Amino acid sequence: MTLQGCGYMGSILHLDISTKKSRKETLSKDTADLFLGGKGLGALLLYKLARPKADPLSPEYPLIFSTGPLTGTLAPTGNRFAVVTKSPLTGAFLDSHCGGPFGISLKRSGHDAIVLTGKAEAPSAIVIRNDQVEIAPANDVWGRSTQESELMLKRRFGSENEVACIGPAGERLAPIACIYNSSRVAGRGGAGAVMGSKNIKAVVASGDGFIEVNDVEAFKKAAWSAHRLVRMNEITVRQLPKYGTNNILEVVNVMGGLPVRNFQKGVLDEPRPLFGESWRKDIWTRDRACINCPIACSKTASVKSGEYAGATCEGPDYETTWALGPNCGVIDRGAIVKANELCDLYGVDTISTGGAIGFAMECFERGLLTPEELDGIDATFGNAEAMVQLSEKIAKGEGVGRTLQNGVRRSARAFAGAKGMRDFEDYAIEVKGMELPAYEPRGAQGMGLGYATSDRGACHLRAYTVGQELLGYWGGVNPQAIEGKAQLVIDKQNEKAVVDSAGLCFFSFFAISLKEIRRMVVAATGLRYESSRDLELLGERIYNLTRMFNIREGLSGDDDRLPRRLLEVPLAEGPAKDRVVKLRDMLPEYYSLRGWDTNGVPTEERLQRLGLSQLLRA
Amino acid sequence: MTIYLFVGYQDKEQEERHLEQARRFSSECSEWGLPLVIEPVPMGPRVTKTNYHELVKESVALSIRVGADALKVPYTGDPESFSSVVAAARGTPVLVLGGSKALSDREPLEAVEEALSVGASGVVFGRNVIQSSDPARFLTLIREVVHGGKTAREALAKGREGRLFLRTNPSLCTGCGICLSACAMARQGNFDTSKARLKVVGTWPSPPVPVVCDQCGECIRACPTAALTMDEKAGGLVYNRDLCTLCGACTTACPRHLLSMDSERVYVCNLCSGWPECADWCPTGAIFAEAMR
Repeated sequence: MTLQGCGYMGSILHLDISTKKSRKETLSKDTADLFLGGKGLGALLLYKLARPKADPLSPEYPLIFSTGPLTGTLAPTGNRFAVVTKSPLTGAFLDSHCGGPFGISLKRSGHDAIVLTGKAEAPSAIVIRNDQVEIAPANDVWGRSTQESELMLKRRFGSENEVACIGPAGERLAPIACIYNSSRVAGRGGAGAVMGSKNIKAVVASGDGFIEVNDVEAFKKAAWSAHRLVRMNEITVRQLPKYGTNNILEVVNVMGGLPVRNFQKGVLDEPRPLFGESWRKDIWTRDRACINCPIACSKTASVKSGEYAGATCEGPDYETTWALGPNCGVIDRGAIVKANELCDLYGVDTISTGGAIGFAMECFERGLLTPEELDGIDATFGNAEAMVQLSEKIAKGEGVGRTLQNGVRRSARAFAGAKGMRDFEDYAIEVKGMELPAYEPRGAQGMGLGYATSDRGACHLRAYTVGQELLGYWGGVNPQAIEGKAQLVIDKQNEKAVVDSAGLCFFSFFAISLKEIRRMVVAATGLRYESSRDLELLGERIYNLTRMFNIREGLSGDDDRLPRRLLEVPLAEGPAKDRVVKLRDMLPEYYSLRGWDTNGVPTEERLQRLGLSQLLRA
Repeated sequence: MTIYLFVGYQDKEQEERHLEQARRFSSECSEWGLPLVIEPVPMGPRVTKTNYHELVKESVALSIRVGADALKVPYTGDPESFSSVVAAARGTPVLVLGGSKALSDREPLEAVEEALSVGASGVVFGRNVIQSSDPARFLTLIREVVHGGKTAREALAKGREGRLFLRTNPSLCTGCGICLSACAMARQGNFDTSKARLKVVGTWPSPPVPVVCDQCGECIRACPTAALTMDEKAGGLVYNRDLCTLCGACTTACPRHLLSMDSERVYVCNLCSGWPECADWCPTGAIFAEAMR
């Protein structure tokens, strides 16, 4: 059975940039069956093709763009593509997802995934049009902003193309560099640097193929049922469309889960300026959706007055608002938009940028860093101007930004080495080298376990326990309870791996469940997933595969850790007052339920049950 | 009398306490001759997203055991799963609850239609009525579905009489392109949106603008073989493949560049024979259908 016409295009393109040789691999039914697409397919390709412990910035290292069977279909939020590689920020598995239209164009060119290896001699763009693959010179685009590069390349190769490109940050291999497509980004973990290390400014894709599903009538019915649930759900029909992801900021803050000033506090005293309604009043001008998304959580922002008048960006979303805002003690909306704009144009991850600034500010306030070491910037918490200046330094990789663009773990080591003091490490709030996102885990125990065990480092979107712990969705649970959290985190991780492999965005998942995803996937692909349980198993398989990748890279249970502050320093106020994360009380149960040994290594028995055993040996 | 019954706690004692309370309500209700409606709510650590529907079923079974006279239940999203909820009620009337105000009238009406088709007895609606822009109209519609035996579509067909036009409200467009995917799926059975009968123009950072066929008739005037005509009564273009020579005059004539052509045929908007899919799927009202008498 060929998969072409069944949600899939049926092939994977392998391109060696150095030799300019490409070949097509047929996507087998077995692979689709076991790994679906997106994250799962990318993880399998990476495991098979990457040399263990190789440097992700070396030419040989694979950079994978991968789509799911629902990408480009009418499934609600059927638009996602995954970028899969090893993170230069963490040294661990990386999947970074993006809602830009590039994934759909890639499929239209006839490919479910592309695997890039090698390195171009000079700055280049990879241009894929159906079966033709060209490595075109892009000297004149090198050095330009993401937005400008995209426009230039669309003009050059035709507006029917979609462009996934890097900004100057990716070119100079900043480990927090992202990949940009139509103002959406694959943000976290530094995939942009991997692309830059190959001298590739952009991948440009278009084609005449079209995405088809196996059973049109069944698919239409399943897709409408899913849309209907999205259109009947308070979160997806009112909260996210109206207030963007900032709709949750108030509740998270009330629950004591909003990290403030580099995780020194869990409550922001004056949160109102950052509520969705405040943004909507004077900054957001338009609702903006990714392709096939009925929700439109994204907004177009434009600052009309004040010091940052004229600044524009798409967003800022909740995470960016927090990272450049409360995490730096800042509540100035204009400044946050300005910093977001800089991050997008130069191509750096906003969460890691905000994390690095929060870190620098705390070190400055504690006297560990002098004004001179911070290029004369008065980096006190709450200084909006300093936040913007530091964002610019990081985005451009200038001055102290040359250090901070490496993320907080390496920055702490660099400062510690240069100054002969170890204290810096205590203020580097990261897991596996990735900066924490916008949920204070001392206010939500499951989130703490989720950060610690996430395959790509501190990420809120591997196990979004926040839904139950802080927002009261899906039954709601006590955020401080320990019991049941291991299972909750496992369930969330597994189901999210399914969402990320199907080609959907997590936000439709507020309204739909694996039941609806299964119906759409089965109608689209003809693959036999009999129940939601089959999909949970698929998610578990993928999560174990990424775990095995990390173990092969030398990571172990020791890396399932949290910063000392979160484990030992209780919060001083708010609903989570006196709380720390009780990671040691949850982790053994997590390993045991996962079928992993006490070092966090999947047992042979579990791998066998998941159908991974053979595959990993091959 | 309507009460909640929470199901999903890990703590057996807590769950037992809730059941005991429900039993007390039930016996007091029978004493006073009041009907008792129980709304089962999955809540607590046993709830996952995946088991939500199973827990609804479980709590329905518990509710009738403590003596519910009727149940107020959320629709589980599809008739297959809901029929098992109805089965768990063992003949006790199942009333579908309305929940949050939906995007349009269509979603709750369809949900009710599907629920009734697998044995639900009626509805308990609040926000979808009182937050409606026209509560009286919505009540009429839902009455027609629950008591009049009409499908959602039949109920909604009222007010659609006359010649149909597609209209746009560009400021509401989010650029999601669902209209394009819906058009391609309905008319071609695939997702080749390049042949969609409408367009969304404008790439970031310019704002998206939906462009639809306004039945101006330029294509008809340009066609040398009368292969295109207008359905003056219902609205929409009618394409006669037998008369078409694939000369392409219509595609050039269209002032909005909406017509496309390949070696097989010309693709024109026929308003999906009265129910334009683009408007049906549009999540913001940026594209909508309007009937003109």
